[in-house]
Amino acid sequence: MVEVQALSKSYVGRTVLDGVSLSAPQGAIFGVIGPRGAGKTTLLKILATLVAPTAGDAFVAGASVVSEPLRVRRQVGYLPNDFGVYPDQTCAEYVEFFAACYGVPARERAALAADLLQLVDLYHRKDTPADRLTPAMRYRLGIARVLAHDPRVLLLDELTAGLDPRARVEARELLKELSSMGKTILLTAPNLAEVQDLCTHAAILHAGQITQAGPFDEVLATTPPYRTIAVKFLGDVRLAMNLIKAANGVVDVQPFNEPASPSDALAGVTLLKELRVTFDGAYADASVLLRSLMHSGVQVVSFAEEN
Amino acid sequence: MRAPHLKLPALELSPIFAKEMAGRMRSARAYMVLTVYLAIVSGLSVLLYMVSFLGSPRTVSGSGAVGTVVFYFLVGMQVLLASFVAPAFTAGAISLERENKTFDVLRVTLLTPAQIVWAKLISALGFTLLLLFATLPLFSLAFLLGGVEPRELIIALCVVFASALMYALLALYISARSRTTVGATLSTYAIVLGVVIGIPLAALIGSSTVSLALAPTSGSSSPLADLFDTLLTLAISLSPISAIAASQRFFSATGELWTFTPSFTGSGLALTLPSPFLILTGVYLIASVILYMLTVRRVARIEQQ
Repeated sequence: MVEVQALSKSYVGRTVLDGVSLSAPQGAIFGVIGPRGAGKTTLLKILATLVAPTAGDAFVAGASVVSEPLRVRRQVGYLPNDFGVYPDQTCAEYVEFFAACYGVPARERAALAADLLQLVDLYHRKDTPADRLTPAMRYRLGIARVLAHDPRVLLLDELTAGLDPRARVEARELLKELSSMGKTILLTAPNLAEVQDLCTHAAILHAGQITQAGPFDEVLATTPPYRTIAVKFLGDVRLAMNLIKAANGVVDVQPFNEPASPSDALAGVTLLKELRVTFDGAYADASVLLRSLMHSGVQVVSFAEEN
Repeated sequence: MRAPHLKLPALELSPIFAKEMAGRMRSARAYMVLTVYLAIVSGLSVLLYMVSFLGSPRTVSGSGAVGTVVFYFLVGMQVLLASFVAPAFTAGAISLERENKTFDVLRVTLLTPAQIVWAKLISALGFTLLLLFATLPLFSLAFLLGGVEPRELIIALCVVFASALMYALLALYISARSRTTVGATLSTYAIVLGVVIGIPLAALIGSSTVSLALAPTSGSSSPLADLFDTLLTLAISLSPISAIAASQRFFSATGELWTFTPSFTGSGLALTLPSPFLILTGVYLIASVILYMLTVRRVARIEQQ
């Protein structure tokens, strides 16, 4: 369904993708895994025909992203990791608008929007202004939007970034449902653990090159086991992030915030910051990282490896 | 879930146009702008009429003079609207999509860049035209008083519509290039102010200086001064305010609407040139086509950086 052949993308003085090749069969949930700056977003933008490759080609349902971008767009639904909505539109109008942009006839749009909002469990919010949704609801609205023209391939950048744990679970269930409907899904994630139990296939992208690709279990078995360390602390997030990024064994670091409960808010817990560190170093490296945080004035409340 | 039937119908209203117009007309702001604009223009027209009427003799020619004043006041308001309000609606048309992170998802739809730019343009111009047409009935006051020929309305309408189109497209082009809407708006207004106010002002200063230099004592005309006058007329044709003023002056003096014939003292040369309003209309229409193509190219340009 999606064939990427020796795809390269270079900007002035910088190579983002270097001869990337991969193949995603129909119905697969294909995870493109890599740290920030690995080239995941660029790869998805090329597949969505937003960015032109410097060399190579990619085919979506047989259509070339280089020579047949319009055919590709009919087959692809693209959801960027951070997308906006129009403040003057309700959820139903938002979906109907994009259905119109994809040429869905006017008489079909209202019913289609209702169906899609039901699918993503937002029908009860159909008349709510789209900009008043929570991040989790907005993500689901985005999914409804990308389905408006019934594409065969979904391109989802940073699947669940910014979502709370419950919303992540819901998003996973939704994607499994879409996969069971025959959609091929390409999604990006910072580590394998993020998409375990979801992806059927995966490719590890590192510094613009694919280091591993294939069925998920095979990739998992041959890839260094990344671990996730949750660091909770009080203080400056930027300082903590810079220290963590500079440490040995750190693959990626992302901010993570769960909504505080009313009792937590009373206790001042809202000031607590949390970072999720993707880590492939030794325990000694983790120990050095913790010491460097504490010596630099970051008030570490907890430093724990997640299962 | 139903599988939709996909094709882009040629005659259907553009979804972007429908969205933008619905968004604009749904808010109370559109009606407030329309009401306030009409109230100001009609109030000032009536005030101008009363002041002019009190200061004019109660004769047919006196009434005509009042009609002329009211007419050109209304034309001036239309020119300001076309020059400053039309670009205000398009200056954020594309940069706002970028700022709101909606541009990429719009670009991956089946809409072509030309369709996106066209829809943004006509939705912005649609509201400007509504404001322009809303004030047209006020022109009946000027025609009732006399002193204005319907043909003078042709001059005004050509300049106003060409200006609205060109300045809206200029703003749209700048919007496509700018990262922020504030930047796009400021850049657009700097250019529009330069053209609308700067050109007549520079012409006025230049004219005074050169007149003094070329005819310091006698005040009589010379071939060089005539040539300068002609070049000046061509230059001021690029500003809507001065183009209307110059066209009206030639029309009043010679009764010729479409052309003017500059005199070159002593040379016997008779050169017939298009009237300033025609020059402006032509230049602005050509500029509009170029700006439209550049904007489409800008939107179509696949991301390079």
